[in-house]
Amino acid sequence: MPSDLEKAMESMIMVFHKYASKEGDNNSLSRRELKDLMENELSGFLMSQKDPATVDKIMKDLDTNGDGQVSFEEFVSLVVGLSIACEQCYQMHLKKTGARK
Amino acid sequence: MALVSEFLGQLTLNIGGAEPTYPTVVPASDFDPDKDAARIETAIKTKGVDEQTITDILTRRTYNQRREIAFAYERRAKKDMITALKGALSGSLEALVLGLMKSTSQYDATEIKSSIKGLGTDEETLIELVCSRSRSELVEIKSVYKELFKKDLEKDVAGDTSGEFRALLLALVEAKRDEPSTVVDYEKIDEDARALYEAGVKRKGTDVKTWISIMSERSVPHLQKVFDRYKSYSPYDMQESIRKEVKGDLEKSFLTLVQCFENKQLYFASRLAEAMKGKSAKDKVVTRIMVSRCEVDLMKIRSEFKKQQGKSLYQTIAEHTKGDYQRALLTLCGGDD
Repeated sequence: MPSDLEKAMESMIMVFHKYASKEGDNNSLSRRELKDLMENELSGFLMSQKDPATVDKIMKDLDTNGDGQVSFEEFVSLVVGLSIACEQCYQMHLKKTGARK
Repeated sequence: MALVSEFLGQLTLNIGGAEPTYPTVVPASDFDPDKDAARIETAIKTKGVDEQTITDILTRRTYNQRREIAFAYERRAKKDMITALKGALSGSLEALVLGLMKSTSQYDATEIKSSIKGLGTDEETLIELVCSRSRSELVEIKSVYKELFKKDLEKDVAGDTSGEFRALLLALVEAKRDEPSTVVDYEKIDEDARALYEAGVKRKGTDVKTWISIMSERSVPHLQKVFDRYKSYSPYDMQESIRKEVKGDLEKSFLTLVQCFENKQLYFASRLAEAMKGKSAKDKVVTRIMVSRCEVDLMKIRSEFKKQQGKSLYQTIAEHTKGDYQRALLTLCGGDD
């Protein structure tokens, strides 16, 4: 029976491949695939950004080797960054609701 | 956890942490420090000193490259290049070239020292430096200051200023500003905006302490949003409120701070314009800004200058300065707009 963490890791991998396999190289996200992924899996985040060029900015930032594709390794850094930011929100939330950790 | 969805909706993208830089001086390609050092040695030895060669070389190299030239010079001439330059040059050109030979924090530290040295204080310079430098720049400056002058920057600043002006400068020099964060704390933004309003425009007199603590401790992106929110409470925007509430050096300092938070390059462009108003130029100010920003954001300062003044920085410098000093400034400027 997979643990919670194992399930989380599995979801990350499955989500990535669901979108990466739509066209071209099945192991990396093209810009269009990345946009698709973000619109479906991170719609709340995407919509709260006022900047319409957000996906392009993120693409540029993630594609560290500049090959126009986002590999799983490059993708994971987005998930990590967002998780860290969410955890910070979570801590603030705990403080405000007076809950003890 | 439905919380994550909620949190994600609150995040603001902060891509590429550091601000993009727009320098006008970039590393010279096919750089040969020995050749440069030789040419400078010859130029210094030339009868009447060939200032043009010295200027042409040094204004077309980055600080790191200039240091390599200085090392090469010392190896071949067995003399310290800076001392040699001091002897060979004079006036505003000398000040500019010596400024180029210092690192950013060394230069800033030296400029601050000379603004507080001796009888009286050059408050304008002190304000410009302390209020425009970032937290990390101030940390560097403090340590270099201690190395160079064996004194604490805080003590020297405290000794030369007084009252609330001193309190503001010390709070900034303490460099306790928050780091920018991805999370936008809307509640705090509102709290701070209201606090600024209630401490100033809303009441009789001004609670300067509150202004000082908010403006010296919050991160810059946070403050930008606070000043925006401030407009929904106060009939006057932050800069107008400052002009209404405080006067003198305190007013100048707060204004400088806010102008730098909102658009630092525009601030420097305005300083340059002011320094070159009328017939002559306040060389010290012009030199300092050109030298300290040429490897940081002088390109952007140029465009803000053109927008604001309707005339290019290049033209303005050409009209208000002359000789080799002018040549040096124009090279650092990098081009006409």
